[in-house]
Amino acid sequence: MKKVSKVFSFAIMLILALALVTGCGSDKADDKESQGGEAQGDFDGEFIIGGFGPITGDAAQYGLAVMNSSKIAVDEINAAGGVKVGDKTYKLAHTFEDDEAKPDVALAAYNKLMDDGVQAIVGGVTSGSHMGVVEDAYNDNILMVSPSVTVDNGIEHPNAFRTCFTDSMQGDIMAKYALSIGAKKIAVIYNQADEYSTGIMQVFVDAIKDSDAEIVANEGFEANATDMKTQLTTIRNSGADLIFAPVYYQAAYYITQQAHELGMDIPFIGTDGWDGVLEVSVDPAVLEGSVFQTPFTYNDPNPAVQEYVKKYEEETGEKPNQFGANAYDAVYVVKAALEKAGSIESEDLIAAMHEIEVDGITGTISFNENGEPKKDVKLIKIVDGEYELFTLE
Amino acid sequence: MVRFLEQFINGLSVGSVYALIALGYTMVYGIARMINFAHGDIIMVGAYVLYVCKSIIGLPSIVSVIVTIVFCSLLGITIEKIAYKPLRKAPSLAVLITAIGMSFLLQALSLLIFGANPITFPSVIKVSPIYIGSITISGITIITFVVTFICMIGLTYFVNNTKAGSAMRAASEDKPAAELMGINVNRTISMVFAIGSALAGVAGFLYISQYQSLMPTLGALPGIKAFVAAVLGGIGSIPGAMLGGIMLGVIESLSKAYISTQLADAIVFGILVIVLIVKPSGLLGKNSIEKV
Repeated sequence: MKKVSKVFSFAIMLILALALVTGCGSDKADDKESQGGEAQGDFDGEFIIGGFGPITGDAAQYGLAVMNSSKIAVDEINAAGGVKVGDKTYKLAHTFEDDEAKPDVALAAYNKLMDDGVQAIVGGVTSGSHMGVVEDAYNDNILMVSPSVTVDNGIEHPNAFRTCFTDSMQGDIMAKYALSIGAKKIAVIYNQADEYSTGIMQVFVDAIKDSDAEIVANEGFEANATDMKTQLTTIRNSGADLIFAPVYYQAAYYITQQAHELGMDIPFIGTDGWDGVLEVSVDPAVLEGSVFQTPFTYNDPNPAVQEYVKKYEEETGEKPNQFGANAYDAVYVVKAALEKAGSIESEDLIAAMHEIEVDGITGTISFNENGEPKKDVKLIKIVDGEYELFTLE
Repeated sequence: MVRFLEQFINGLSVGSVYALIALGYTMVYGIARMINFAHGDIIMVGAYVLYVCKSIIGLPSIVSVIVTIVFCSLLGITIEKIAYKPLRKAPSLAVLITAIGMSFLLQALSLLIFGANPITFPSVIKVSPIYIGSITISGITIITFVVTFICMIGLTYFVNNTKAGSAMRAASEDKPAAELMGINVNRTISMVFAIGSALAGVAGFLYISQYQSLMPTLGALPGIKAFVAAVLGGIGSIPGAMLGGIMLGVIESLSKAYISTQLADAIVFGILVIVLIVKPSGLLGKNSIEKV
């Protein structure tokens, strides 16, 4: 009997080990497609763009958007004949690792990407994970273009750039907007356990304090909170005429829904985390008139945007969000840097980043000396259950 | 005063959800002497089952709710049979870790099946709110409170006044002795899990009616809070769970409203620490002397 069970357990171990090996193998094959030969068809070589972000867990929507959009951009560039680098033509390849929005997993994902021979990175996606790898990426001196890391010190190293606005820029933009519509008493509700939310809140509050308007309530809520009624009751009783909620779309949904249940009709303004809020709301009427900052909306009539939206929908069956759009632009930014540099060496690419101007789907992007993007500010207003785009003067 | 009442009702609304979940925790702990950390995730499963029945299959609301409760109950029994029963004689730490593993398993499974994107699910309960002066009490708050109260009374009666209830109490005190008295301990524990998980099903149904959004992680935070509520009220005590849940909700709400939203959790857990220092068995817990 004992012998049988020993044999049995050995067999199980063998199966598990095999499953592990084949599991990893097939994963990679999916992402990279046919990476095999160096020179394929008309191409003289291959340039691998890596990415990492959450594709499981709470923040998976962001990571999936970045992964799918990067892939769409890479396929598009390859279909159009690849990238001309000096006198050679390179094919782009794309590989993506899950970081579960956790810094320690992100570091493992980053190391895996480097082992796979990645030559530039479009990532990270969430600020926390990104901060977990910036030092290593700097030491490896690899070009990093993040589509969505908004934390201020996220790109302080010369190798790091981003295509999205920072937390502080968003706080300033929304303060300017609040004052432009004549708000006098402003309430703030934010996620106190989230760097993104607290960061923007701080900049916003400082900006309002320097004006003739005042902050009448500043309410926090804990991570994963679903009940905001207490905070909203306080805000209602504070006599606020505008509520600023620098939060992600799920929290934005809970806040607006519960404000409606409490019979409040104070208008809301938010930040780019709000993108996608209509899709998670039971009743779009509770969002009517809300305004938030975002570089992208799938309703944008721009043909380049519509082309991307169509491809994204074909790929995933869902509408793309700004995380995807910024990732799509980030891949084109890397392409432009390759062409400008005429080299695939990281050092040349990083130097070229400051000289390029890319006409992307989120606007015309160039980078300042710190690696911050320079582009127009777009705002979205929710009208009749639809996103409507306008530009802040 | 009106403001105070408003915030008190906000607290009651959250507190009654905590209380309902805490009843499940306390029930399982009281009899099986184990903390079922997968309890919060059974709530999540319940919410998804309700969604599948109502929105995908299109069953009537009342049938969907019954299917949800029965499904959760069976899930509870299955989990107990597969994961906890083989460890009946193992140290309690092993069971605790298994329960946490079970919690992750349920979360990962629903992530695989339903994906990470939140799913919206309009409430199946349509009760108009009650207005007292300028105060509004939403229908779902009243229903949650009433359901929790009925469950508490029903459970107390069941445990204290029925044959099956006596069997449960006997099994909780001394398993081998209960077995010698002719009590089928395994079946009794299965029944405890069935009832505890059915309560989680009810909680899932009420939770989803209140917040109208489904996520694989939705059970985690209320699960933890309800566990704290159960400990505060005296884990193992059924009225204690109700008291602990309501108190936790109200303290949370009032400290957010009058002290600081940023410090609310610190205050809540501070109170828990003080209660446990003064009365280690919780507010309504029995002081049991460990026999050596």
